[in-house]
Order: sequence, then structure tokens, then C-alpha cells
Amino acid sequence: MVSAVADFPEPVSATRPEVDDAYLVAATLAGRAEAFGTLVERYERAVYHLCLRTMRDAEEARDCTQEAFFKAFRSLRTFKPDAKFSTWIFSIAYHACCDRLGRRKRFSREELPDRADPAPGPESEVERKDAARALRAAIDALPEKYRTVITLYHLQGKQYEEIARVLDLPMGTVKTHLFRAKEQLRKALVNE
Amino acid sequence: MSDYDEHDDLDRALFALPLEEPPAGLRASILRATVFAGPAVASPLGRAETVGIGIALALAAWLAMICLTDRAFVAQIEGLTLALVNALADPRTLLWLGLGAGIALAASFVGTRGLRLPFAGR
Repeated sequence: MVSAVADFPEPVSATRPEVDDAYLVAATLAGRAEAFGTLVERYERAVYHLCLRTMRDAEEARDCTQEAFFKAFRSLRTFKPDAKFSTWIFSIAYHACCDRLGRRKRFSREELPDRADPAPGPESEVERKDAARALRAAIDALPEKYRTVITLYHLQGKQYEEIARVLDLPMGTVKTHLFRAKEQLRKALVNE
Repeated sequence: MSDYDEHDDLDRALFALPLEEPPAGLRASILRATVFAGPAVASPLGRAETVGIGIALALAAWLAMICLTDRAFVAQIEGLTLALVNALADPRTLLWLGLGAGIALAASFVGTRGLRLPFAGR
């Protein structure tokens, strides 16, 4: 149990990878707020990436990222030390995205474009030559459930169990979604 | 033909995909809302406790106001308090209260682990 700030005498810099997330959470709870700043520094980019891929809107992704970290900070006491902070913060961010998508009724099929670029112009012709941009566009064209699972696969590696925890789905469903997402991506990119 | 006709290639491409760059100022706004917003995380009170204390304080303030302004209300409260004191002074009331407390104490020693309510499921 964390009892005092004095329990965490070491500086909690983000540049020190040996300082693990559990330590930073405990330090934050002990009153060393800058430790949470280090967690923000570590996961801001990944959380924003997940939100952007899920929302497909930079402004909303920014709001969801901020909301996720805010909620995490407020409920840091509920974080279980044996869990992974990345899984926890991704889960909070994903649910923040779902809330927004649900509120705006954007889970409907109409919002899912059939193609990566519904209105290709001269600029997009140039972008097509860029493999990363093409892949990103193909991911954005996936249905929401596949888009999120492939994004988490990218962020968390092949840790299916962690992906299942974030999405609150059975592992089998995650594997199925991932397989179908890859199939769709492969088809989209082969047709490039 | 693209390079993506095998899943291994796709995996490599996925893992090589750079993460999106967050907008400038996002980290600062997160930190303003969390780290620099005060020690909310260190607060011993949760939201429910804070709301509960707020309601209790509001009720206390309301009661104080009524007691100061409404004499009839004060008289009613005095009557109720007197009735309660009289009831507690009655040996029969004390006997029943003692009996109830004794049963509760005995039940706490027996415990409820071995007990099963008639309509409880397995």
C-alpha cells in the first residue's frame, strides 16, 4: 500500500524505461503528480493514435485522448497493480470513443465508406504512391470493429489477450475480427 | 501486384506504420486538466461521499434556518423528542431493545455461513 511521498524518492523521468508504469501509478497516488505526467508522455501518442483511428476525426480524437487521461487520473485508485497500464488506458480511451460514436449515432453502416478515399483528387493521386498513407487509408476504410482491433494489434503487438481486455470481447472474437480485418486490408491493398 | 499478398508482409507493414503525431498542445492541456488541476487523485473522498456530505450540510443548514424562523416547527420537534425520551424511559421498551440486541449479538457469534434461507438458490 502506498503511504507517503517519501516512499518514492527517485525522480520519475519518462526517459528512464526501467521506471515501470506500476511504479508511476503508485507514485502518483502517493502525491507525486509529475509521475502521471510521465505516463501521459509515454502513452499520449499511442492513445491519440487509437482515438484517431477509431474516430477518424482529429478534433474528436484530441477530445477523446484528453478525456481518457482525465478519467484515468480521476480513477487511478481503481487501477489494479497487476494489470498493464497500457491496456487500462487504451480501454478507457476506446470506451470514450464508443460513447462519442454512440451519442452521434455514427455506428451506422452509412458512415463506413466503401473506399479509402471517397473523393480522390490530384493530391490523393500522389498520396497513393506512399505505402504508409495507403495502408492508413485502408485501415480507415475498415468497419469500426475491425479498424479498432487492427489498431490495437498495431499498438500492442500480438497480445490477443490484452486486445480482448481493451475491447471487452472474447479472445476468439478478437482473433476472428483480426483475421477478417487483415483479409479486407490485404484485398484493399492488392487492388491498389 | 502489391507487397501485401501475404499476411506476414501486411504485419510488417502494420508494425512499421508510424503512430500519428498528436496535435501541439494536447499534452499541455491534459496536464492542465490532471496534474496541475490540484490533488484530486489524492482526495480521500470519492464523488459519492462528497455528494453525501453536501446533502447532509444542506439539510443541516435547512433545519437550522427552520429552527430559527419557525416556532411551531420547533415546538413539534420538542414534542417528538419528549415522546422519544418518555418511550426510552419505559422499562418495557428497554426490555424489548435489550432482547433485540441480545439476539443480534448471539446471531453474530453463530454466523450465517451455515445458514440457508428457505428461498435461496444453491
